[in-house]
Amino acid sequence: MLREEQKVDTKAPDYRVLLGNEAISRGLVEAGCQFIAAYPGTPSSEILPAVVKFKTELGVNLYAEWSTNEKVALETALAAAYSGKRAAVAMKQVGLNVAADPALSSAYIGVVGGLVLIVADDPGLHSSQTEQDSRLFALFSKIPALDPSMPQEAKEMVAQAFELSERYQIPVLLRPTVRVCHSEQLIDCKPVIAPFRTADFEKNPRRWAATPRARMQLHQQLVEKLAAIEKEFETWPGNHASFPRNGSPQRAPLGIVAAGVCYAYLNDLLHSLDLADRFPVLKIATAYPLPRALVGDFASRCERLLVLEETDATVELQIRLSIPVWGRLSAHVPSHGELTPEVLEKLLVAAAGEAGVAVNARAANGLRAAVAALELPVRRPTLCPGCGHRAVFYALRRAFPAAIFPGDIGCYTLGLNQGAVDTVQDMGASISMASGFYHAYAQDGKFPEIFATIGDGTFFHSGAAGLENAVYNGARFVLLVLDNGTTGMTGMQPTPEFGQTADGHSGGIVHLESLIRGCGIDYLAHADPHDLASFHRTLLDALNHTRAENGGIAVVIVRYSCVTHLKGLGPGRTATPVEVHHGLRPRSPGTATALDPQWMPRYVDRLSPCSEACPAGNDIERLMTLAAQGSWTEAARTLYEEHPFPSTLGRICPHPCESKCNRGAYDGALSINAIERLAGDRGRSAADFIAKAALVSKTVAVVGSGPSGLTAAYHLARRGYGVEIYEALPEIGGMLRWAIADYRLPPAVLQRELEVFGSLGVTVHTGVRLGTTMAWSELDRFDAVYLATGAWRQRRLNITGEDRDGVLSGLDYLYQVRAGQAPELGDRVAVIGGGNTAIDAARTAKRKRAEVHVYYDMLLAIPEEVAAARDEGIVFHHQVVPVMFEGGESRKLKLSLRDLALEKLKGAKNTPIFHTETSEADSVLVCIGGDADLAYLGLHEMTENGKLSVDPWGRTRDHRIFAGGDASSVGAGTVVDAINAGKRAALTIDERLSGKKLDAAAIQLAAGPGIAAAIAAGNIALCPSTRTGQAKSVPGPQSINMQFFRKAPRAESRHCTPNDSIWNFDEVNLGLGSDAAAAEARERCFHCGVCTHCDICLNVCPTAAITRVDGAYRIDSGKCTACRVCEAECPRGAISMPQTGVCIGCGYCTTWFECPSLKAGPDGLVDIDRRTCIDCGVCIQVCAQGAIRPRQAQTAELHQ
Amino acid sequence: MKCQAIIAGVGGQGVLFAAKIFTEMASRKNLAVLSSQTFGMAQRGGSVMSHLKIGGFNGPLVCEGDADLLLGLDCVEAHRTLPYLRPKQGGKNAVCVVNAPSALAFPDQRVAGILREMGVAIHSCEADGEALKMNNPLVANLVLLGFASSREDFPFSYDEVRDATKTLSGVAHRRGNLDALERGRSL
Repeated sequence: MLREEQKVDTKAPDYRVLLGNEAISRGLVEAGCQFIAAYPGTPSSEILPAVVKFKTELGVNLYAEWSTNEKVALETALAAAYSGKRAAVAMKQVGLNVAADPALSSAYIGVVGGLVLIVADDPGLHSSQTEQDSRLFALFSKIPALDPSMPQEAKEMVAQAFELSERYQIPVLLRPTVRVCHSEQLIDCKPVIAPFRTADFEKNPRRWAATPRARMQLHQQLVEKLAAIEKEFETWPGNHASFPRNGSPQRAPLGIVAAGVCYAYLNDLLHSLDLADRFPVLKIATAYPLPRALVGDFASRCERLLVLEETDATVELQIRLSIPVWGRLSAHVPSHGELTPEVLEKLLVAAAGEAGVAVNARAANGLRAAVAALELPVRRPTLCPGCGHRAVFYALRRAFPAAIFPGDIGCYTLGLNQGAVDTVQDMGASISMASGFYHAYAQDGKFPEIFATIGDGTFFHSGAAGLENAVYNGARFVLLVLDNGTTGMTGMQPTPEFGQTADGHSGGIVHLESLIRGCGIDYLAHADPHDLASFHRTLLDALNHTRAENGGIAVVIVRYSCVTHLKGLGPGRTATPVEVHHGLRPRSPGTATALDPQWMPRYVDRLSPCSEACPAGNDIERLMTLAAQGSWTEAARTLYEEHPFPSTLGRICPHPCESKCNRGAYDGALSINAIERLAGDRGRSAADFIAKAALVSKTVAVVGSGPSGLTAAYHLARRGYGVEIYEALPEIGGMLRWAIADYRLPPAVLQRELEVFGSLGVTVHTGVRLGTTMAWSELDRFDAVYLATGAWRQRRLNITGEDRDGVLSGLDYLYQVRAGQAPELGDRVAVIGGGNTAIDAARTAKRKRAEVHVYYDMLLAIPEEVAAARDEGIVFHHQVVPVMFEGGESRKLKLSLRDLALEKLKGAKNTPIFHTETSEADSVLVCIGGDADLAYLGLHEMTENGKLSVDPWGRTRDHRIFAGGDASSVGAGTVVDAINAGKRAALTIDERLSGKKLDAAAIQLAAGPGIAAAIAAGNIALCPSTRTGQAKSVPGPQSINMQFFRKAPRAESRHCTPNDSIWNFDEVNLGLGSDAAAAEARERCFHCGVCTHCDICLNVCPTAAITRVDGAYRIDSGKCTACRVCEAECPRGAISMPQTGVCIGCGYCTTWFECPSLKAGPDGLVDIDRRTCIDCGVCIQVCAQGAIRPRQAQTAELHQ
Repeated sequence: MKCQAIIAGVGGQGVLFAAKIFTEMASRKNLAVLSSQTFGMAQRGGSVMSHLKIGGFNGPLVCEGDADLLLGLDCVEAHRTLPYLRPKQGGKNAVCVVNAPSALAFPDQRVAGILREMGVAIHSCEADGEALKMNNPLVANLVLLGFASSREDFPFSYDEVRDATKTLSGVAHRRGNLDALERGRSL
């Protein structure tokens, strides 16, 4: 009997257009359901909220809860049913898998109050993992299954189900499919009919707590129940057969058995195909147990049967007849996919034809094929614009492209689109699978990166069990719990996190962090994915925890509001409207690559800022590489290319390299100075293996053997020149030997470094003073002369009493100490001056048991030295200078001092009235600097302002004479500057004498003071990092991706304690141990601008355009899209690629960030879709070409 | 009256609201109505489709080749759901009303011929553009509905559409929605 046009009186009580799910809910409330527990799952999610709505409307006392999962929901409801109340549970088909345990058990035990198990199936897989048929599950469980064809019927079946359930004391399955759940129909709403009951649990352990023996009885009872139910179903009103009215007594060629929604489709189809009343039709509403007699009767009037049902062959399987039964099992009906009207029409026409019934099929019009040929873009599911999940998956994929990503079920499953979800199995599986992956690989000794993702809702559902197991069995991986505070995909249902219950009854909070820690997790961090760099840092920390010796699983909770739930950005987040910049793209027609060559990425090693800052020209980056390996001899050799003084410089240099170290902006500069020292101390002495080049028949005289002269001699001798040094003092070394105290530079250390001059065959003449004991003419035989006589003449204070007994030149004093001729200073010493010599003098005086006071105008000494002096008890007087020395009362001298700072406060400095104080001292050491004594020049006109006039390379007006260091106009000031001067002079002397042009630009170290002698000598093998060329740019802190590096404090040198050190001249700074130094170099050096083959670029390239061939990187220009992500991700700025600032249509953002608001036009260029964009601003961090930027206010907006 | 209709669009365009208007109109006329919507993961996918069957029907889905009316809120989705349209029957054309970005965008020339043969009446308007002019991009669906209901071959009258919209709109949006209908009618 076909349904007539449904006539309704909408003015009569109470017809409403309701969804199928809402109709079921209405049925529940009307039938006196007092208890419902559910878990959200499409297509069932609307049932529980609608129950709450109706119960409120009808004023009914009905307990409603969102349970944490389906198993819990069913167990909870069963207790209510045992207590005699009508209870219902709602879930989707795969939820029944979770509830299987209680479901199967409850069939045996049965119920007292009716229990309706509402399970919504999803034929067509619109939102599920399987097309399983819950009616088959009912068959398996042995509970009856009702199969509604339309929303109104589903509503009616609820009351029938309760009633059946109570009569037979058995749970009943009500199984709507998605098209019934989500269709709307006019529903007849009635008042509540059933009486309410009070809870009354009658104890009966034999039933409720049945053990196997009792279960056997229950099973027998169950079997009997089903037989009785089947009998009842034979005359069930919902099952009815209709036969053609003009039916012949003969058997119909084809009879159709239709169940559920297929029955509804069938009616419409028969009508539209003009086949109404042509076929016998048997409607089946009770899918299990199938009323076999009814079917048999029906079949006796047919030659064959066609069975139409969703989702699988449940009814078909129960039919055993001698006539052919067509359905899924006979392949007349497809076994996968939804039976839509189109599919049914086709198979019906085919079946009819096969049965010999002529049917006029619908005329084909080719429209379907034509539309298919349009190749319309497929719209795949994607996260909402502004969704926090997107930022998480983007960051995960970009930072760890090679990781394994176990994923889970929820909106965040869509991380698939961004390549950061590898597995989706079932609810809660991400954690167990992460554990499984870990153990499978660990078994082979491999430990890949594993990042699992799970939502908060899913975690509450079934994450804890997996996490307990993972902890218990020792797995290691990173788990990200994506907490958006709701169960999103199914329609924003609440989770236990906030205690918000389904109908507002009082509930409690389950604290996510406590739950996670309760599973045994030690490492629990929180992160915000909207700042991608800091998020990256957090993820790296977490990963490190999984790899640490005492580490384990790392859980990171990532928290942000669901933007769809909130209808905008969450609290505490500011809207950042963005725009995509379009402009001229640097692409010439006919270019094979994405952009013109100079805009494409290149590996260009650049000069590290430390090396640029070093006046000695040390290749510090290479030094760090060698130190990291503990290759101290190789490290020393690298330094020896530039100068012979690593042990010396490693003790006394003011280390401008450390001031420029980029790590200083992060967690402290590298201890470069200490590492250079260790290379010098640990590496073999230069004397051992620095060879002399083939002898050149040219000779050079070096006058003065301080660091400048010695360095010049070193480089010239290495190049084969005959070098002779003329030194006025008894031994060579200049300031190194005579002015720097032993506790800073032990004589043995210096001696070892000076050995190389002997092995280089340098002739040394000591005790010879040019202009006094030696005439200029004696130098005529040399092809060139290098004057490096320094600045030894103590500068005068020009005050009264300066020549009194007890007022000494600081430089002279230090020399005398060294020479073993030091005068007694007395108990109290005043040091005048604020430079390094003053500190040396002060600390030396301290060791001579004096009380020391330092008076200075400006403190220019190395800060560590000043600090050490302070620690040793030396008192500093800031901005105090002497104005007069007189004879003292209690001590030898009385000093009149002037407090410049106080004067500045009171008035102008040069007024006659000034503040004076007096102090007494036994000795005064004047250390206000030295001047060059150039008397020896005689008639040579080469001076300017008391210094030898030179160009930056040491050349004077006389082409044979060169000069450098403190004696020259370029000046030095520090030992390392003097070394630079000596090196430069040596190279220009070599140029002069050999005739080979010196390529100054090639050896210049960017904008720094130093030059690279190694490059000049062509020793590329010794400096593989290409440091040549002045044009090379030097990366500052902003070109280092700090998030790749763990914070670690800088290794500090050990020192003798001041209390011990002031009693002798033993070395105070003990440096670093070689392990600590190696660790410092290995773990903390960024290697700014130099490729270290870390493979990050290779891994992060979205088109796999980068490969490693023979240890070098190659970029396949055919694959490179110029997205510039390699440049952005290189931790140390070793890739050179200018930023275009405009969209170049590379497709990177649309592929990997994949936001619906980023739309590519037909030309591939991207624009923001303002209708959907919610201004989260995250995409700004995505485009490495800098094309996506915050939107500038439009002028019109400004004027509003 | 019997009418089978498809409303096709992209998530967020208000396909569901448009479908509600139809069911409201049908129930006001005491007509039985069945409709089917897209939810859940399917909705995240962007393509959203509602089926409407007004009159005496049993199943909620329109069969391909049966639709009397196709309302396309999005041009691509409108193309995709064209196979639902029926050929001319009993002298009555199927009607297709589409929100197209330009007059030439719909229908694509590769399907225009077949549609002509089938006798489908095509009406298109730039509802997005009109809605933008009204500074209310989200009412494009109502602009389209207003436009559609003013065509002769639309199964409901403009007044019926307006009354249903008025009932279903929340106070905040009512004015804007009715204005959008009016705008659509005037196109």
